[in-house]
Amino acid sequence: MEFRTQTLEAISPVVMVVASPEAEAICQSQNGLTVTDLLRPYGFFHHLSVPVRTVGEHSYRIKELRLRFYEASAIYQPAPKVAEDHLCAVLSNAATDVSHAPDLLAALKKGEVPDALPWFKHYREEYMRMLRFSEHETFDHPVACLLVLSASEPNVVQAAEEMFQTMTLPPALRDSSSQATLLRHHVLLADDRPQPATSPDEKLPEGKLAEMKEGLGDAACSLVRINSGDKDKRSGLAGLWHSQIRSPVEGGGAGEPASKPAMPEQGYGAALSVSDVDGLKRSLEDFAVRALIPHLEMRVRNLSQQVALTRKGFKNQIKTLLWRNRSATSAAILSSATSNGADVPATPLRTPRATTTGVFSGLSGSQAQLRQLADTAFLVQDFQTAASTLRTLAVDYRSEGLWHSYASVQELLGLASFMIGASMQEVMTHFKEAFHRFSPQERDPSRDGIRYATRSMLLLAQYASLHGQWSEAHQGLMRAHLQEEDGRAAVLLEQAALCLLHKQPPNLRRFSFHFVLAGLRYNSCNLRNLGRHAYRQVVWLYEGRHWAFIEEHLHDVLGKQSKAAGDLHGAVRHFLAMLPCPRSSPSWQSFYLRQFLDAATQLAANSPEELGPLDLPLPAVNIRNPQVFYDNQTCHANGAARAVPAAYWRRLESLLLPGGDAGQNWLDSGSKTNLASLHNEVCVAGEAVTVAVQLSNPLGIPLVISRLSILAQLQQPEEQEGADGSILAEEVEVTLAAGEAREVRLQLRPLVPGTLTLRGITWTLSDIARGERLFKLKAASGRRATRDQSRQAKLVFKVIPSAPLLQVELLGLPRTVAEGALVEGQLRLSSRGGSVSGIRMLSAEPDLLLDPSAQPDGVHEASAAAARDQTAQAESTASIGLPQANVPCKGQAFMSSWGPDFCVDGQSGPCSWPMRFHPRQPGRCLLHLLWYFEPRAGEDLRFRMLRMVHEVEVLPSLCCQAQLIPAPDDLQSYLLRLQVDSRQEAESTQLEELVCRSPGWKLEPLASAASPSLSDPAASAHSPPSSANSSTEVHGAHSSLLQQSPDCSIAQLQQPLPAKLQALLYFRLHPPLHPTPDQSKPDLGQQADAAARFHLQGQQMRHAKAQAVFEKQQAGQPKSKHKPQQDPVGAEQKQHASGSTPPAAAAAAIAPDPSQRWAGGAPDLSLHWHLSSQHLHGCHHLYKCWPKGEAGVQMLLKGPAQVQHDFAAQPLCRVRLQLSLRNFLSGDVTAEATFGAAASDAARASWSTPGPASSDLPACHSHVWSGRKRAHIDTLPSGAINHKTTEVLLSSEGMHNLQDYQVKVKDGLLLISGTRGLNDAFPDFTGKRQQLRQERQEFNFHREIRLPADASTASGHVHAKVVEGVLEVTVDKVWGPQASDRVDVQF
Amino acid sequence: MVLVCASVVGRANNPLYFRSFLPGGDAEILKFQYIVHCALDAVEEKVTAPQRRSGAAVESYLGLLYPTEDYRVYGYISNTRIKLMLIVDDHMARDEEMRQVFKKFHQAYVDAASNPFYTANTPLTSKRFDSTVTAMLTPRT
Repeated sequence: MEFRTQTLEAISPVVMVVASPEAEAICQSQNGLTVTDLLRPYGFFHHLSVPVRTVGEHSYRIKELRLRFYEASAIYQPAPKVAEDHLCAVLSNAATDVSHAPDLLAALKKGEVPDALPWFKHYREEYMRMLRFSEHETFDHPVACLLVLSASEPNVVQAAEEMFQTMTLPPALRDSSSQATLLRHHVLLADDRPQPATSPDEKLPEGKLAEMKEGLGDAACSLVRINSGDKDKRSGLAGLWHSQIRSPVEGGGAGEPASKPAMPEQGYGAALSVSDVDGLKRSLEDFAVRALIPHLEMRVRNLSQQVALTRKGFKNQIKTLLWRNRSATSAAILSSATSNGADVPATPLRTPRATTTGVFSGLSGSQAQLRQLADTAFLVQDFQTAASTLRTLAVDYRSEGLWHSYASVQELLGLASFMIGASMQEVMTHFKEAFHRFSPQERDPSRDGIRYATRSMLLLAQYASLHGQWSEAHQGLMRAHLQEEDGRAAVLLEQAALCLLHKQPPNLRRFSFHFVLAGLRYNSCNLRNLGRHAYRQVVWLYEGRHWAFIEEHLHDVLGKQSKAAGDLHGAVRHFLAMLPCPRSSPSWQSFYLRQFLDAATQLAANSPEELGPLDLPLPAVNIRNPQVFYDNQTCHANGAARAVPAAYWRRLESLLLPGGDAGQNWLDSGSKTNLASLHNEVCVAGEAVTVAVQLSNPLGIPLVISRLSILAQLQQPEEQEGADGSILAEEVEVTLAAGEAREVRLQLRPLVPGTLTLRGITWTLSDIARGERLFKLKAASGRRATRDQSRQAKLVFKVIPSAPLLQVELLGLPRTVAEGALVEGQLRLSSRGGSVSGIRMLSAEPDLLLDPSAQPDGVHEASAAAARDQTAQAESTASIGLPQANVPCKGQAFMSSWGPDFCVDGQSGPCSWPMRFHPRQPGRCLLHLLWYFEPRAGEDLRFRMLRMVHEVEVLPSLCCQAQLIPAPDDLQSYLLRLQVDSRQEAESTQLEELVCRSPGWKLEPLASAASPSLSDPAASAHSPPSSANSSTEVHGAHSSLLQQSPDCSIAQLQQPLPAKLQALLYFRLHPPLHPTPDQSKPDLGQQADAAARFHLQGQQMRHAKAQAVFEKQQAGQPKSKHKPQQDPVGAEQKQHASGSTPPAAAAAAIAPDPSQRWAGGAPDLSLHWHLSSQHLHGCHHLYKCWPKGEAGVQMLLKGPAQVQHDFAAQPLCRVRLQLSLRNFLSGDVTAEATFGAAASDAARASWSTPGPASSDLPACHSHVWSGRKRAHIDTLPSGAINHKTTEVLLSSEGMHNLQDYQVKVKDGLLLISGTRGLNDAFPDFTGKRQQLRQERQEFNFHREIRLPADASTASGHVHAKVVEGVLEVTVDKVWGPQASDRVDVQF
Repeated sequence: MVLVCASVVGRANNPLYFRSFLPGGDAEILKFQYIVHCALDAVEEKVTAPQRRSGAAVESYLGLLYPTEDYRVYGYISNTRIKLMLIVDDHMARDEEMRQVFKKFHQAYVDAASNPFYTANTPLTSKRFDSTVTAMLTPRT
């Protein structure tokens, strides 16, 4: 409806209706309507064209007119309290049912935001009605009086006169002058019902009308006939009155009487016919056009003349000025009297009635005339006159400070301005001014004007909103609500909020805040339904936007209100939303949880069907990334196997699968494998599908979660539909501690084939509330969308019929074991769901040994025979035809095969084989086992793979370091220095024996160093081995503990090694004299002893590794042409230092190999030990023990240590000496030995060594070399020994130190020289210069010095190294016939 | 000028940091959250309004956003659409003064967001940022 129409409807002539009781009876008895209500729908006349001329020269035409009909007794304004009660009742009625209120969220999405809420329109109308009939606004005063009489009245003229005289006038008309201006009209109401027989002298209504016209005037009378219709038939007019009939105010007033007849069953106006209505309409139109409009026209003219008389001209202006002064004085007197508490006369002055600020002025005097003129002109639609008059009046009121009257004038002036087409700004300015002046001022704290102020803002909001000025409307309503009581403020806030939704763009956040405030106000005045409605409209705006305080507040209020209102479902929903509140204290979190659970319990007790699965936020579930584990062709024995990357397993599978199965490319493999192998989303009926879901508890209190399981759906093929129990879902109970996050694995078993869909998970919180969350995998946009669709499809599986599954158990495998231990265990194989055959196993680590060829424990001959029969028909290649154990594969992997004949039957129980485990590296040892087997049943899976991972923690036990030193007293043998460090924490280790596993090598204990010397590794000082307690024995071929091959040489130790201590063991090793067969490819299966098998396995792995390195270097050599050629000696040194020594064949191809001096390469050793507390045997392997450093060319001067000679018999003692030289270099050398004076100078300069301290003989230097002083060896081949014999002549007794000889060895450009004393010869003729050059690069240098520490010390080697800025010098000194020891010298 | 609340609002209009300087506890924070949330409408209006005026650049300092009965909300927007909001219990705050305060506030946010362990658009839990903001704003209270 346009604002103009609304204005004309609101400010229209008021007609006072006075009906006789008979007339009321005629109307009410048949129609349920009072006479006033009967007339109301027909008070609107359009298509009029009535010329009117009021004050100006020009006339205008009224084209439509509305009349307001009120009973005379109801034309007054109810008391403010009564009005407020009535308005509260209006809101309370609205609050009883808010279901018809529009859903603003849906409306907003549709773009159809309502202009107002349903109760706002009604409330606004009622509010406006409560403010009608004020004394200062004359447009609500009656302008005409309609006297309604019954046609059955015997004397209608007299009755009319009596009625007019005795009628109750409204308060505004109690003034006689006002009464005189009232237009009087008479209506004769005729009942057209079929009357019972009437008396013959009774006149017809027409006659009565004529009589009335004669007595009261022709134009002032009219006849209306009603009740001509059939009451039993619905007239269809009832709807006309529904919008016109208002609920009465308590005690009456505001245009409605105190009580009204109830609506009849047939509806209002049931007895009215169309002719009745037409007649009524005609009569009222005649009244309006012929009587009322001329009357108002005349009244405007009269008022205008009166105003002109009283206000125009100089005389009147002076009067007005004086009157103003007088009224101002009287106002001052009145206000001072009021403030002093003196009695104030009721009406001290005639005009104005009261002049204090904020009080309306009276209706007498010139200002009253002006107001009446303006209001009457407005009623007769002369808006220009009204506006100009109101402006004049506004100036008067403003100058006098009569602000409420001024505000009232401004309000009407706003309407008049709008009607004459003033600008929007001007119209709104008038309304705002009215609001401002109506509002209580600081000087006037009374709240009388607030209601009118709010009315001004309602008018402004209506005007602005109808013209699209939503901001202005919002501001006006917001200003109005601030000073209003709660109920009205809430209504205004809601309407203001709706204005925000109409803005572009919609101010959703402010809208929601206004609704929240409105809800708060509603709750304050106990209108909880409306408050709840307000909150519910906006709570969605905050959800999920992380405004935690706001969300919590809204849900808290809504939950409590819903629960109080009996809406348990709503209460549960809102309490549920409050649960995830991590910022709250644990006590509050506990309270919220209890609150929710209470509501849920009540709901479950009242209506269990309503408490379905809830979207519980506790615990937090990661629904975006569930991990699904399942088995199809590839099975996993444990969770650790799933943790290993699939690529690793695929690499192992490529080793295990025959070539036909693996395929050369994807096309080959696709053509040969079945459908199941191509699709990952295939699982097997009866086997578990595991879903790993991340659960977390965001609260600070523990959560008890029970019946946690997977939600899944299994769609069976059509022919099998209807079967029950097709899914077996495991239910888990979990208690999540405060803040705990945990991955929970849930299992599900589809029991029959079909299509399995994993939908989500379901659980019960605290055994009360059932919750569920559906999986929602990560979505992406753009090009990744397709990929994510396939990811979503990963939750859908094709379930194929069940297939047999191999089950493997490793019994006796400990979780923690010492490094090097030899653990004996048992491998147990069984099958589930049928028989499997063709079993093969691939072990990625060499630490596990199996023997499938052994007869298993518990195998049944019947099943084995049956398997043999079946597999006889199957194809079998030569490689897998027979049981094989530990066949090396690529890398460190070993494969074992049970052969096609062997079958594990699910019915006959498990079969067991011995198993040995030997970890050789400390740390975390992961055993990756891959099993291949072929199910004997089921067509979908031709073969299956079982992946297993076992983790064993390997603790360090011993650390062995072997060092070979050329024996100083024998050019053929070596000294073995074995250093064993115990890494055990507390337990002592029993060292049992040392085994040399290289064929031809002989192990011999050193007589003087047989007992191992124990020392603390932390201490830097080393004591030389003592020569007592020899307990070492040497066995050539057999040991009580071990079954060795005849080539093994064993040294028994039987020596305890306490924890954290170090043992030094010394042995002599004799290299083989003759070449032995190559043992690089030993057959592990033929070795009976586990230690030997592991040892040989290690050899094999080293060989393979060296081969791989060699091949890699060979492949890389052409590319590295520009690189400097690597020094072969340096490379050998590095390899030796890193402990990875290539085998002879490979190493020989790379560089000249010093180990070629020994047939069969460097010796391999095994140290066996025993831990008594754990009954654990173990062994450590030492491969390819090399001599430390280069042996170079060794020489030995041999002769008798003591000679008995009788100098009296023979003055000279001739002693025969033999000088032996052995070339350990890779090339030939030439040597020259010089004896006597030529060498003495150099020898003395270099070597000045006293004799043995133990000797009691005097030192003597009187010896003479006999024979040739120089001996040349032209060619000393690599590895060859040359002996030169010489003689020395001694002339006196004593200790002769034979130092004056020198041997020079020449090898190409290299000239080396050295000299030694007798029998302690250990000159190291290595390429010193060459080494020097190399070691400088490594911050080492090598030189010879004299060491005066011991008499027998002849030479020492100094190794210096800069380690982190500290120069560390290590001296190796030689102990004559004994072994060497180390002296660390720190500078 | 009395600053009673400081907040950082993320690109998705989610609160990243919220700090009340009044001793009212949760009730004060709730009230300020409502006010700051409302003020986001004004931010959107101010940010989108210049686009209608031939692409004029949006100034970082947005000025007064939302006056309420007791407080006034001032705003600042960064180039990454992070909104900094301050609630002032003073109707006489000067724009130039507020501009300076916001620059410091923004610098503190930039420092906190530059932490390599901070994920963009997540709540700011840095104690250093909190102490910086408190130190920056408390002397004025």
